[in-house]
Amino acid sequence: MLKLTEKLCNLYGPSGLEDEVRNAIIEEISPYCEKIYTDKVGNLIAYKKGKKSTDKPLLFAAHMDEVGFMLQYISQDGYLYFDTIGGIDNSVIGGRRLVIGENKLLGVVASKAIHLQKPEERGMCIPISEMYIDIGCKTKEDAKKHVSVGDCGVFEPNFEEFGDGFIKSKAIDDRFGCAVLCTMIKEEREYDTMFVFTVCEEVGCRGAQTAAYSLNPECTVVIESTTAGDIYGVAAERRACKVGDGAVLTVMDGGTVYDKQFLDKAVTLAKENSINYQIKNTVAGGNDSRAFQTTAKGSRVLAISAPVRYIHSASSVVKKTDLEDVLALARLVADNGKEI
Amino acid sequence: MDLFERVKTVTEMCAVSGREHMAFAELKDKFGHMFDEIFTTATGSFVGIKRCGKENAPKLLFDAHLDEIGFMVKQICDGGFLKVTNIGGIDTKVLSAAEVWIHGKERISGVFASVPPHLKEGDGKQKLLLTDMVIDTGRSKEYLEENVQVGTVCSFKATTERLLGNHVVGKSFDDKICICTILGALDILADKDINVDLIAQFSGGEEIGYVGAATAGFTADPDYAVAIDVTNSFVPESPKRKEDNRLGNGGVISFSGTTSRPLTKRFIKAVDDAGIPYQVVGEPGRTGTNAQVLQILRSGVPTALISVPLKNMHTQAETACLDDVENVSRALAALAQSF
Repeated sequence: MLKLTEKLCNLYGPSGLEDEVRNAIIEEISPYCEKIYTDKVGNLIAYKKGKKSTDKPLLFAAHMDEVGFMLQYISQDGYLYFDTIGGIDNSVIGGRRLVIGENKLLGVVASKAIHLQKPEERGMCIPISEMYIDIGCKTKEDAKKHVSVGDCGVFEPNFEEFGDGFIKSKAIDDRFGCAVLCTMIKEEREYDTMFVFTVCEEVGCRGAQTAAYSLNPECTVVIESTTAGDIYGVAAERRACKVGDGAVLTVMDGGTVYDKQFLDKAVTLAKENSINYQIKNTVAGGNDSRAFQTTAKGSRVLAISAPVRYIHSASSVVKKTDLEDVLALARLVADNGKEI
Repeated sequence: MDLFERVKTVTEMCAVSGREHMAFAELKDKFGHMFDEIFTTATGSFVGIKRCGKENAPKLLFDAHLDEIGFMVKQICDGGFLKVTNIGGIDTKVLSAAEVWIHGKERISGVFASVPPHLKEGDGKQKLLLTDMVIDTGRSKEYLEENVQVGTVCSFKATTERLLGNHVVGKSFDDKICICTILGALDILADKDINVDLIAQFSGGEEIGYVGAATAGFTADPDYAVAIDVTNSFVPESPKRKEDNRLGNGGVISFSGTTSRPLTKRFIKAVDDAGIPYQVVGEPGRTGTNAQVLQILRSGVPTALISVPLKNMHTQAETACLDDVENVSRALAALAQSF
């Protein structure tokens, strides 16, 4: 799964431009699915035949899109002004390298240089409206030969193993979830199972909404990445979750109160099978669960997440053992899900 | 080795101020063959001499500083985090999510932690201060205590890559890209009959007060000196008087209060005569470069200053144009041939 996570993390796929990711996933899982198709908004849907058939298959979901940038204006000097696709904190944008547009041009995000800052501006985050991307063009005309308003960018691919058993990369949120789903599809499953790789989670869980309507799942498991605030100096009660402590189960986040029975079942399975898990201790963030829970007749929802430091930045950090715990728990839920 | 490959090789070396010896072996290995004699100094400078073969030839020194800004570990914290202080001037607002090398017993990588938005206090408008930031190493405290200590240096971790228009981006172009301008001048002069001995001085400690240039320069004892450094190019936020100093327009020759006007004029004439693009700038102050210490070596050394225009100085995304690097090499060669 690590190799696949690396491959998927390094792909280009801001919200609305998930094609590269979808094509890679299709290539990966096609031989293992009974049926696979792309719906009208771009979600990739796969049916997996299990050892036993069921008329109420579980649905597993992960999103293909990543946070990114969209070009809004090209200046006379050939600089590209932009806004973010999805939520990216200002502080992690300055100085970063991006790949932009279909030609994957390298660009760097610049803003007022330190020698031009007044003392009171030093160390202050610069608003996105005052940042610009430098691709090496000196005029608007030159830049327009290479990029257009509306072109999108993502952080430069940079997956690497890091520290003692960690990974550092862009887009761990949620290519890791996609890798979990792919891995589960390639294995034998106990029951018939549905899988959806959604689009546009980062801009309001839009793919999940149409998928929820079409697939009409009884129960949905969202495989996600969630903010780990376990950095030095942060009090334990504010950390949300901690890397290395296992799969994160959520009782409530900014969008959803999760299904009690489903959550209890997941906790029981984790305990019985000695899988490390932790309960997220803050009510913040949100994911596709909200869309699955509230679309059409509604679905029971469970989120199993990997704790990720510096999520939505160029250098997200995640621990490999946590990824394994998420996969292990997802497998157990898939193969015991009928008993909820 | 083409120019891009050379720039990549040199700028990806790590040589934090005061610890320049980290790069000595690789410099010697890759470029030692270009010189007749090499010496290094206790203050972090790597000096190569290329003789012209003529008796009592004057000595022309080209200086570019080898050292780069970085960090020093000041505390090993629980959970695999390090607190650091800066070596040289650092723009803290571009540090979150930046990657670093930690030069402990083993070289390991690290990432500057960014505080998740839900954990930010108040209105999020607080200053990002280095004292509040930590580097995440992904290691155990035990490992760190074994391999890192208070005082271990860290440097930016960034590869050097191409942008459009012969531009390049990377770390420590300040001032390693200028080392490449000197190497390029030596290439041009390799088969030329010149009347000066060339001293290529890759000096240490510029970012912490011009330590290496003053001491290596004393030892090398030149008759003339040229400091080669980087200079901030025009960017959208720059004042009007910087408008003409841009990437791609050639090396920036400085008229300053601390350089020699006769040598600067001679330099400009040589460059003009050879038809090499260049720009000029007026800097009444001390220029913030090694030129200011080279000029007052021993009983004084006529010194000029030429700079490669640069954007995003002192970040891991410094941006320069290879045309400028090439034109500074040509300018230095033209000056050497003028004697």
